[in-house]
Amino acid sequence: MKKKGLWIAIAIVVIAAVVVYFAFFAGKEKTASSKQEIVKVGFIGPLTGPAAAYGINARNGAQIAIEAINAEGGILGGKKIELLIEDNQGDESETVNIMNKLIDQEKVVAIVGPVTTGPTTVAAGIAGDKKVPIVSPTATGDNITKLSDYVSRVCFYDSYQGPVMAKFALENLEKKTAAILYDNTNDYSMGLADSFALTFAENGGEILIKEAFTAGDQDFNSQLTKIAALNPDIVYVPAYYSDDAQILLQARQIGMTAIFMGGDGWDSQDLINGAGAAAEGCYFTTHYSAADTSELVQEFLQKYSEKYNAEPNFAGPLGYDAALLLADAIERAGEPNPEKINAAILETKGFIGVTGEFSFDINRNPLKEVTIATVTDGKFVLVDKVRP
Amino acid sequence: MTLETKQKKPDGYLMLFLALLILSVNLLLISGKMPAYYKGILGFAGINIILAVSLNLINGITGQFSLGHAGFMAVGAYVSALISIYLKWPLILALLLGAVVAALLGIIIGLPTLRLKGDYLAIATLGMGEIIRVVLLNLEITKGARGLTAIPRSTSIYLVELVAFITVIFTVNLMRSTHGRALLSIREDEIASEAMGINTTFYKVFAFATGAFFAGLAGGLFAHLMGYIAPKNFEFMRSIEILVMVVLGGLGSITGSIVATIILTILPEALRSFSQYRMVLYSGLLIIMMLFRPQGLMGTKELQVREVFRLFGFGGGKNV
Amino acid sequence: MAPLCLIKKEGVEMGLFIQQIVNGIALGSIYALIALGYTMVYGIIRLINFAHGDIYMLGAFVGYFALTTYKLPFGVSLALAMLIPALLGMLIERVAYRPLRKAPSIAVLITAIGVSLLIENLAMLWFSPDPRPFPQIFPLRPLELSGIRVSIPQVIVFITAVILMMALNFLVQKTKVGKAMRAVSQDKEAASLMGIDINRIISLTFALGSALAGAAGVMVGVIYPRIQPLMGVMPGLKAFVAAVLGGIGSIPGAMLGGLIMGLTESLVTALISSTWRDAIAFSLLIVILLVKPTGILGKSMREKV
Repeated sequence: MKKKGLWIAIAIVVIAAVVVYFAFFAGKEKTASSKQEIVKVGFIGPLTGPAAAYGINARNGAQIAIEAINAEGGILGGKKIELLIEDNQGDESETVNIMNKLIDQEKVVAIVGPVTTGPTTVAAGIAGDKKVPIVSPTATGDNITKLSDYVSRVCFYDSYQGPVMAKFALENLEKKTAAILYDNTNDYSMGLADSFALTFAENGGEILIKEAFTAGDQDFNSQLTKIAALNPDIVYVPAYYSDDAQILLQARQIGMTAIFMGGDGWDSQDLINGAGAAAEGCYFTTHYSAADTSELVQEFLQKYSEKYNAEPNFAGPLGYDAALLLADAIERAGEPNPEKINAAILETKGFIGVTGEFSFDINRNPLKEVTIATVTDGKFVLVDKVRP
Repeated sequence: MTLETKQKKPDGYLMLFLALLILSVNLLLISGKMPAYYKGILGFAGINIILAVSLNLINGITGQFSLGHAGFMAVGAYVSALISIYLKWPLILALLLGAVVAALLGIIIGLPTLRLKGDYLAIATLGMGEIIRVVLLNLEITKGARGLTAIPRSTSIYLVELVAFITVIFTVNLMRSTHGRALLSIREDEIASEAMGINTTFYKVFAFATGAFFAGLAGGLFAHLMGYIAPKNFEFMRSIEILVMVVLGGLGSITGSIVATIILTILPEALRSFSQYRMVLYSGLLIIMMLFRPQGLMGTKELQVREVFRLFGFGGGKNV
Repeated sequence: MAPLCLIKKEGVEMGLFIQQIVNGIALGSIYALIALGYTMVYGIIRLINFAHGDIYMLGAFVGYFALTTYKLPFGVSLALAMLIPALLGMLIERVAYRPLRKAPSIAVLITAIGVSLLIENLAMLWFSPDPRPFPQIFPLRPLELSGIRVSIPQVIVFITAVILMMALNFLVQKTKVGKAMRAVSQDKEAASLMGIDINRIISLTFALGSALAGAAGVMVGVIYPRIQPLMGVMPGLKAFVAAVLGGIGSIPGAMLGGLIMGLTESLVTALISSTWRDAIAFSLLIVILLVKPTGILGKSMREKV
């Protein structure tokens, strides 16, 4: 028995070694023979793990964009784009390995991703070192584009949308007191909470309390009971939709009547599926409105539901736009050269995507309209578009 | 059943083999022929070796079941990163101070909790790791969930190798010393070793603090390799990953830890193309491994070159 | 700071305080329900069954599919959500834990972690990682008693937890099977010499514990209508802490530990800040372990030489 175990152990080691060998070395010739008809672009995002819902949506969006471009004859006079998809599980160390692999082994000319802020922070350094541009669909942390000249994004950043909602609450709804309930394990949620609080207080509002929770918590009664006792006009909840839906349900259960507000993390049909009537009359800022009748938006939504038999959350159209922007930049660069592509990305002007028309500011953040939406009769309704 | 308390040491041939391996890897590095992808993996493997060997000192050699190693790693990472960012001290000083703080914390936590045994100690150390993470999430200076950005990326692969090497040599020599035998005796039978006059509390805390010191060093190297750290890098799962490396290699076997760490750092990379199924395969492998060889790849044995030769059919190995 | 506010406006704040205690008990009864399964398994084979939290997740998913895809009535769905996890629990024990019964405890723990990871990742492959809304069975409108709100599902969960605890306690203390369970937990070899089929008893323990976890999964779906493949991780961990707190192996202890855990979390949120909630829950655990390592209701055991 003891011997048998040892042999099995050895067999495992040998198999592992063989797998490693083939994974690392067998594909080595690939780069030399890669045809010039193909332009390789990477995608990095969490396809497994807790953030997978956003990674998968962003990937789907990017794939739709690439397929459409290839179907229409590709770029640079007939070259096809190949999207190399890698799963970083939302983890920073994985992202380092994937960045190195995509750039050194696969020789990609640019990368769509990463999807979340932490991995994008790490990827930014590597992108700068290797001078290969990355375009994040959804990383909203304020600082990431300042870390390197090779990072840009198609979503707006945290302190871009928080103030929009704060001003909307003060000026349009004429509310004066607010409570904040945020996810303190999530940098996105913290960023939105801080920027909302700052603008709200500066413009004459009062923040009564800031309470926190942990992503994935099921019970919010304790925090909500504490908030309800102060009776604020507004409760700002900058978190992701599945937490938001729970919070809304439990808040209505304990009889809270305050107006709940949030950021782009709310933008998913699952918010309404999860919260039902509790979501009525809430407001949130987002990138686009699915109710937008523009051809681009409706065409995208139709393609998405045809291909994936599901409705995208906010990461879907952003993934689409990121891939589209990159393809456009490669076309304008005139050749698949990472540095030229980056220069072309910086020069992007009046780009029109599903999430609106935008140009970049000096830090390669898009200057775009923020959509304010509300829920009426179980549907998202466009309230306003604001250009801060 | 006979107790295999006699620890075999890695033999000279193995050392020679390892030295040659390290030398050839470094030649590749210096010549610039090694792609950054492999360099990156090598860096992570080195840091994981430090973590696994230091946890082995606590879990395998001293037999104290700790599930909070990521906590010490986090302390080392944050302290050294903060020193680098705000005080701009040289890397080595930042790393050492981070490690010392981690070791001090190891003593403070170890003194009361190491009275606990087995599963209770495991759950207490698990709780400790979670507490450290929550503290990091709430302190002003650590910037909470946002993490620390703009840490100088000054860790070189040579430094990682050097620290990994020092960790291994230190642990192997410790095992051979009187102190090492005291640690082993605590693993085998704590009551008996106390009866023999061994100050078990001292040695348990000593092992805990030393393990924490090296974990802190690894954390510092990690922070300066990534340039960015956040509390979620040091979650409970991180502790589990390190523990799995130690257990797969064999509790108490230093070379086992090294082999298992290398396999477990490279395997997920090799399986990347099946990323959907990677975690499923990884956990399945873990279960199968434990079912068929619960003592790990190496048991408490060390890798011996002559045994490797014997396995591949090169005779009895007496005159290798 | 915060506690001072409480004193200031005594009339209003007292109601708030009682409301937070009610919230804590509601949350605690869920921890208790999960902790019961943990404590039974640990009591009998000294194994921290890391996969317990994931069985609870599977229970929630079985309930979800029974209610939505197959449109079964609630009672049948609940029964299925107990039956399928029970069978799975037995299967896991048979395949993964039984062969390791004589192995070092750390190896079994690692296997348990492996099983837990396997279930989580298979669930993410099969069910997708997206959270799903659980169908709402009971009206969510709360009952109000002089300003204190309790929702109907919260009451149902609390009562279910108490009934299950008493039933389990009766089973373990008064029946023949329970006697056999206690015998196995004290001394496996002696028990088998007395003619007890150890494997059957351990299988049964896993089945019971897993059925309870499955029921807890459906209950959580009812109170907090959202389920997802990783929903078992944190509650699983906290329920284990609850089991240790109450004295692992003790059935009333699991209940007590669960309630203490829920109350602590709720009061920490109310009096200090929700950001420190998890840290204080774990600190409490460490303090209890140091002061009385066997937990509040656990029997102390001396290590024999």
